[in-house]
Amino acid sequence: MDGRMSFDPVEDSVEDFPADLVFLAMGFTGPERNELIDGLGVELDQRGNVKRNEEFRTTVEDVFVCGDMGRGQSLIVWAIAEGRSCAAAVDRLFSGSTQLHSPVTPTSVPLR
Amino acid sequence: MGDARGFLKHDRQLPDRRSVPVRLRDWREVYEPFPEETLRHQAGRCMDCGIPFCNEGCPLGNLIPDWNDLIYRDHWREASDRLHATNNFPEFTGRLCPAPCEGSCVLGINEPPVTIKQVEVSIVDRAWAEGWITPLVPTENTGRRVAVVGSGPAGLAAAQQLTRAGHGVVVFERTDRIGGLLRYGIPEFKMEKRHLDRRLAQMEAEGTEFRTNTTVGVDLSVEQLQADYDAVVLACGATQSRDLPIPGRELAGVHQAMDYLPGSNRVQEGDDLKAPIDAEGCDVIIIGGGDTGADCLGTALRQGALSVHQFEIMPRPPEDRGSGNPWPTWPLVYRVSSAHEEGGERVFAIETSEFTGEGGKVTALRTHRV
Ligand SMILES: Cc1cc2nc3c(=O)[nH]c(=O)nc-3n(C[C@H](O)[C@H](O)[C@H](O)COP(=O)(O)OP(=O)(O)OC[C@H]3O[C@@H](n4cnc5c(N)ncnc54)[C@H](O)[C@@H]3O)c2cc1C
Repeated sequence: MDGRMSFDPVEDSVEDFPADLVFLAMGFTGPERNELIDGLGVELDQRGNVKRNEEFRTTVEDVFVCGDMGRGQSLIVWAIAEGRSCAAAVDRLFSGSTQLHSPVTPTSVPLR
Repeated sequence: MGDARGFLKHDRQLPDRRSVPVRLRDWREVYEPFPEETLRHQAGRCMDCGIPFCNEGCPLGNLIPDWNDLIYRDHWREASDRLHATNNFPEFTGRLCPAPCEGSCVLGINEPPVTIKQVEVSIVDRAWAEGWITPLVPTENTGRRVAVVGSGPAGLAAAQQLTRAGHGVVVFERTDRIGGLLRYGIPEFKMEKRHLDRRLAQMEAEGTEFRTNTTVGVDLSVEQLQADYDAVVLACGATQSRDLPIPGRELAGVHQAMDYLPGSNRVQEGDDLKAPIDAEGCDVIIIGGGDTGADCLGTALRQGALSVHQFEIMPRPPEDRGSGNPWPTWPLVYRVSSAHEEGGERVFAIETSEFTGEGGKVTALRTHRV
């Protein structure tokens, strides 16, 4: 069901809550599939994010991806880290090498 | 290391939060200023560990023990240089980051960790106030052109790095302002947008170009984009919201958080007097116990909601780390954000099965416990 978890209901626990306004804040499933993704023809990975190699390159030549669009819903600190690392990868494409800081790879994960 | 016994002399301390009635009215950030001397003591709690796990916990690899020591020794300007060596935008992370660094701080094994995030934001705020942060204009122009699509923190960081490396960078953004979720999403009370505007002014002075109101793929074709630029960096975010396809979902009054939050961002920018969706006098229910939900809570309370409940399907997390969640991993513990101390009620282990309504408008949620 669209990535949602399912839980066993507790018996006799049905309760109605009055509401005039409801906000759904259940997270994000990935980038929007629209003219940009279709037009470029970039491939998506199994989770629906834009697929990339270890150099932040998509499946289309000279097109890179960074941040939530490649990693999926994450944090600002990861977005900045990816932006920096992706810039280093672009600079490497142009110059053959780079002095730019590259703190993470597309597959880096939090300590766990 | 500055103070070898700092962590024995000083307990962890954070700035006070402003009084709830005041901050609910003015929408501004919630923290009081933090005295410099207190901050020095806090930075002095850092042990400059042989293996600083905070470095590893931070995706940016921030040189945390270095700048803690510099603050302890009162070398603020050097601290700012060291901080900016790994982070383009410490004023964003210093306000908004959940701080995995603190979760992996070695002191955290048996004491509350160093207040790393507070040191970070204090350094960068002082650096701006002193005028130490100036445009770093590139000295050469490589003649290469890069298009960055999307202006959130990922696109902005990539753009600033590439501009400084001498490439010609244009950032395209489909909305009317630059910033991604930092602009439209994250409320003013978590980060005042003046911090974003100030950083964008630096980027423009360095030569980064910004084009707003441009949806790439619609207003600018992908063919044109690829023809005009030597490389394209996509940074459009993960903006597809998860939905809740249960009976009654179509009723008026049921909204995605991201259809709600930007309205208040626009009011705070001075574009509108009232948000299109306004919670004044309403009974509000937020489905989702995370950050986005807390941002809806803080926003609804500021608009004058009658009541707010925040539902979370998972059980209430423990107060302290569980045995399966040891240091230095991210602590899965009960967290109280600033919005949570302002009001509303959090309900855990609850699932919604149906929205019910009258005349096409939602009036209640049918729930059960899980
Ligand atoms: C309400 C909310 C609160 C959050 N709070 C926090 C927090 O406190 N701390 C934290 O660390 N993280 C937080 N996050 C997560 C964090 O904001 C994101 O991880 C981060 O912003 C991702 O950055 P990004 O640059 O990848 O994308 P985004 O910030 O999503 O930016 C993408 C940009 O691309 C633009 N775009 C999309 N398609 C196109 C196109 N075709 N043409 C041109 N432009 C386009 C969009 O308009 C948008 O401006 C929060 C998220 C939300 C939703």
